[in-house]
Amino acid sequence: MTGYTVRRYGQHHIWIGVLALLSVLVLAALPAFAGKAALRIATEMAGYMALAVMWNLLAGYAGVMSIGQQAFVGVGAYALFVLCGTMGLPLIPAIIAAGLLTTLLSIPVGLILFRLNGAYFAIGTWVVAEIFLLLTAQSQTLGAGAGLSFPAGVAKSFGTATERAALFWWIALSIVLLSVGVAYLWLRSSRGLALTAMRDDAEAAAGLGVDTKRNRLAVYLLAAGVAGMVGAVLFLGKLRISPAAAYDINEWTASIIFIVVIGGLGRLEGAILGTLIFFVLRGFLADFGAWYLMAMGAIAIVVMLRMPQGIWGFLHERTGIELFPMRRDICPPKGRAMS
Amino acid sequence: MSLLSTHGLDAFYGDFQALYGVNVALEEGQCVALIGPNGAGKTTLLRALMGWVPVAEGMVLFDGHQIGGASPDRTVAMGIASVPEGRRLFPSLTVDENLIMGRESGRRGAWTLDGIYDLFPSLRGRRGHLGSGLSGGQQQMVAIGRALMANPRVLLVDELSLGLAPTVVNDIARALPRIRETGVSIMLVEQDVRRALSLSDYAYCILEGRINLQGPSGELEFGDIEKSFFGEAA
Amino acid sequence: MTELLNSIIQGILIGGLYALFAAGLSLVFGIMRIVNLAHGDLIVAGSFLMYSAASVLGLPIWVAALLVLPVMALLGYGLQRSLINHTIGTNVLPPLLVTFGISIILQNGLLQLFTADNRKLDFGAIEVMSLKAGPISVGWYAILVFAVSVATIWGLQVLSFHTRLGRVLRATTDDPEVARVMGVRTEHVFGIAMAIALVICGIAGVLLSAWTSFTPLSGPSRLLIAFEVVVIGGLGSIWGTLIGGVVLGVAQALGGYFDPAWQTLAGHISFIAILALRPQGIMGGRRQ
Ligand SMILES: Nc1ncnc2c1ncn2[C@@H]1O[C@H](COP(=O)(O)OP(=O)(O)OP(=O)(O)O)[C@@H](O)[C@H]1O
Ligand SMILES: [Mg+2]
Repeated sequence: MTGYTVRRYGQHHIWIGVLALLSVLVLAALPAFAGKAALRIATEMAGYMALAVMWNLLAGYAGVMSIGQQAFVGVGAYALFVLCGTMGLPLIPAIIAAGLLTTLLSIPVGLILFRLNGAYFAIGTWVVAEIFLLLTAQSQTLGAGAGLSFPAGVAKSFGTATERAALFWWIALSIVLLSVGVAYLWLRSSRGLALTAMRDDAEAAAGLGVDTKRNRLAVYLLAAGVAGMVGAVLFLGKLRISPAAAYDINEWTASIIFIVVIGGLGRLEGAILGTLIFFVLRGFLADFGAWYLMAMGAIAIVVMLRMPQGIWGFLHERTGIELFPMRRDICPPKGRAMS
Repeated sequence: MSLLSTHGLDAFYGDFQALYGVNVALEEGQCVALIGPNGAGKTTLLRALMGWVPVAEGMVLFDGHQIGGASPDRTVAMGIASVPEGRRLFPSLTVDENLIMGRESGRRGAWTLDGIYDLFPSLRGRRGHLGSGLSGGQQQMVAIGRALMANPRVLLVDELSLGLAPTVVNDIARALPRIRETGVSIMLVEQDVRRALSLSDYAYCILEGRINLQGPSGELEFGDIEKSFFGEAA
Repeated sequence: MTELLNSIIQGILIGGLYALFAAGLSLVFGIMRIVNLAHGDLIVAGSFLMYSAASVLGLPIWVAALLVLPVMALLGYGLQRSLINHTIGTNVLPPLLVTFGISIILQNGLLQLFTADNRKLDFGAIEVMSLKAGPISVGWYAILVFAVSVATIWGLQVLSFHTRLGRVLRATTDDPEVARVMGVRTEHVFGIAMAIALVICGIAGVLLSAWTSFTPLSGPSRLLIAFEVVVIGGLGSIWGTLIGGVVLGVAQALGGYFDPAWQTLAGHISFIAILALRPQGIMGGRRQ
């Protein structure tokens, strides 16, 4: 039985790696050839993608169904407006602080809510988001129901409108790369194997000594941190914030769920593909208002019932392609065939 | 023609195959025992008969009809009632209510609440108690009574004696001949080989999803059965 | 002081209505282990059905109310058999996602049909009459709402414990697999359970349509109330939902008494407090 090796990467994965590196370089160079408007959309896409990757990690791998991530998006966004806009902290530290703050906040929230299981946990997260919304709307310092504008003077200190768009894009790009990278490394680590085991069978995983609760909490904290930073950078781009927009369940949770379900739950690539599809659909259909949202709801239902593995899962089953190799192949020693 | 029979029965849990080409038959009025070690596939066989695991249509014949793949609510309406493994009473229903649930099959006949209480007199005083508050033996009695309330032609019993003291099992086993007198045919899964043979007319031994020994219960040698458990039978 | 007393009484009375919100949610969760995220929108759909029958078609209030209930029952059975039954299994995500999709479709469909305007029905004189005892004054409509709510919950209790359907529902709640082995067509029973849940939603929607104004987007807040009541009262206890409803109603009333803006917030906070201190709920403890 000696000579067997575990191979994590196939030959073509090296090419995918090279391709990924190239695309990151192109994306980083985007401000060189894209206009302000295009950069804004790209920034928004990056934010959604980061949220989707995290939601996918939560629901698809850890089996944690949150419909209250808007709580952390909102808190992160307000934190930035206060820390950077009002108190004058430099931009990057303020964004990181926003992420740390939401991570910290998610500890007590998680500890209380994890007493609820499954579906009840989901609605519990929503209640928490409502509480944050109502508390924010009560606070005079946060502009109550009307919200805050980002001080023009501080905004100008980041450069011209075009320079700002580029700056925000780079920040958003960093956040999404960080999210994808962390999610990927996490899933490939032993902790990630535990997560996958948890997804497949939480009881069995617990039986194997995998500490499901701690793992789930850890993913929840990570997702909260990312949501906080995404909220910070996206509302920075808008330069205005109000409780209704910051804690909007449709924007920060429903859309994200749609993205993940369409793309493929439990597959890192799914969140990325789903974001692209979502923005294309939104671009074409958003003018139809209520009809557009109804169509989104209907598509999500149909995909869930007919193609629960999502579009990426469907492609993967047909072709076996995989951008982020998760499988570990057992390779027999050379010269011997596996029977 | 047999009342209930399987023909090349294969059964799967996902990708895992639990039964391989199993042929068993139960004649009208007979009691057949299924014997085999843990994980052999006895429960799966009973589940295939009642439609709890999916199987192909032609693999199960009941009274001349192909019934493979029919769901449990339909097989019980046809007259195949079950005492599930682990008894599985409805914990928040009283004994009376548990028994009455047996009537959901829609079959009416000789078995009524009073008939069940006559068969198992010790239950009578417990009518209003919750199923979860009974002793193991009493739970088994309720499970058998519940199945009989469907006035079945075939009774499938999984693990009659599991976890019960021998004297309690004796009490319950005494009821089987009386049940057979009313024209019910029985297929019985039983770990206690001697008891299985003494209660049945014919027995099958299962190992790893295959029948590897069968014969009239009176003619089977204990030693052969022991070998069959370990896969050494001819 | 009397003002405080009045608002507490008001809180108790609306607690009955909140219990109705919760009863359907709890019934469906008990039997199928799913949470219907469209529950609140279905209550609002009940209000809009009432609005259509009473204001648009001009039917008398009683006729309109009685018409809403069978429509809701059919809607529940249809939704369950056509969509939700296909999501039931070991995984919690499919039912949540599908009912979330239904919720979005309902909200936007209602928005398309009825616009985002605030609506409120007028049930006539009963809305302004009140019962006076010394300094305390309680509206007759609030009393009626409470009475109908308690009667509905009592009816649900009778149905559960004194009818064949109730026995089948409880058996299926205990163990759907074995219920099926006993001859229960569980997919049909699930449909019936959802129909009953939506009739209760319909009753709540009708009562609410004259209590306060509503829009197509009022559903989510109703869902949150229903959910909080279930958790506060304890899962799986019919009378627990009534206690949960009253606790939440009183918490909101007290919050609103001190500062109107704190009404909803006080409800949410009492929920979190109970979750932290007594996660099994006030009447709970039997099972998760
Ligand atoms: N729900 C299931 N999913 C997957 N595999 C199963 C399932 N139920 C049983 N099996 C497998 O099928 C095989 C046969 O199991 P079965 O329960 O039929 O055995 P059995 O003879 O009744 O055993 P026991 O004496 O322990 O009751 C076993 O290997 C078991 O692990
Ligand atoms: Mg077994």
